[in-house]
Amino acid sequence: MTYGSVVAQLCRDYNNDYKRVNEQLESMGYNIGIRLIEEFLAKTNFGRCINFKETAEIISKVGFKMFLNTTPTVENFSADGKQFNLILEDNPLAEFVELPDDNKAVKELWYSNVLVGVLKGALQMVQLDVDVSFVKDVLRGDPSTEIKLRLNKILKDEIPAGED
Amino acid sequence: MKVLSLYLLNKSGGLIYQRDFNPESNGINKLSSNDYLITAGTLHSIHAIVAGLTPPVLHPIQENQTGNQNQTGLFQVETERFNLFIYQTLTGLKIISIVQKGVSQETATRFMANIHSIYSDYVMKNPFYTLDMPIKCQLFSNKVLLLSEAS
Repeated sequence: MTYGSVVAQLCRDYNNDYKRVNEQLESMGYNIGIRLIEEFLAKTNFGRCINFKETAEIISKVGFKMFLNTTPTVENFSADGKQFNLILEDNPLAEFVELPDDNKAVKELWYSNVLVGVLKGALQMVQLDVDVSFVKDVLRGDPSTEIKLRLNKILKDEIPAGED
Repeated sequence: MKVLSLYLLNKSGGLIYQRDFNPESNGINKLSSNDYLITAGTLHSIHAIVAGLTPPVLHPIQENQTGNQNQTGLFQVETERFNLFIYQTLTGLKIISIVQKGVSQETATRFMANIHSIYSDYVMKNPFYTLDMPIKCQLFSNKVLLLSEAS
């Protein structure tokens, strides 16, 4: 309900300009993500992932389970190993939510866009530059909720000295 | 287990937290804050230089249970009076602890892992704390003190 009231208030504040609401949700998520990663590392003691596939597995099986108690599935892992989709069967943020009836919301608002920011921020703090975006959302009438993650590059210069 | 001092460095090597425990009874001199900054920066640089010096043939395999990502950088300094350990996380945070001679590496690493845990709770979750800035969170300081006194 807290998340819901945040989204609703943002919509009211921005006069239903859903593009700006999406951006604001993503930047809120980004601020959460850059801090969340420390807790994730402190609690799990994981080392650096060898490849992006491992990153995908860890995000879905450990990360989401730890913070949202749900396990999305990793699908459509691309051949070059740089892109995958996360399918969320149940999205705890949007469990009791219906989008408002004006035709704009259902086309423009990504309700759980904070998740996009969280993933982007957290991965950036471990030196992975990833583009994250929503592809489908059950709230919009699609069959499933899907987030696409695409690895742009590994920020090699920022990797702390002293790792292999 | 006796920890004497604790330093936290951000990923650029800037000092964000410094604490001496029981300075009078442990005989630690208080330096000026500038000296602490210089010491921290020097340790950060030496850590990086050591990582560059380590011959590739000695690189350890990724067998890591403790969360300490410090594989090839400066890890431990031993002197007659104290030991110094450096613990690094994936995000570049360095935790440097100065401990008495009797303290083992595992104990110190466990201590620093706990510090990392309190950091992720009391510092990261404080919305008014700006990342990479000096830590002024009272709750964090209290917890650090408790942790240093626990064995």
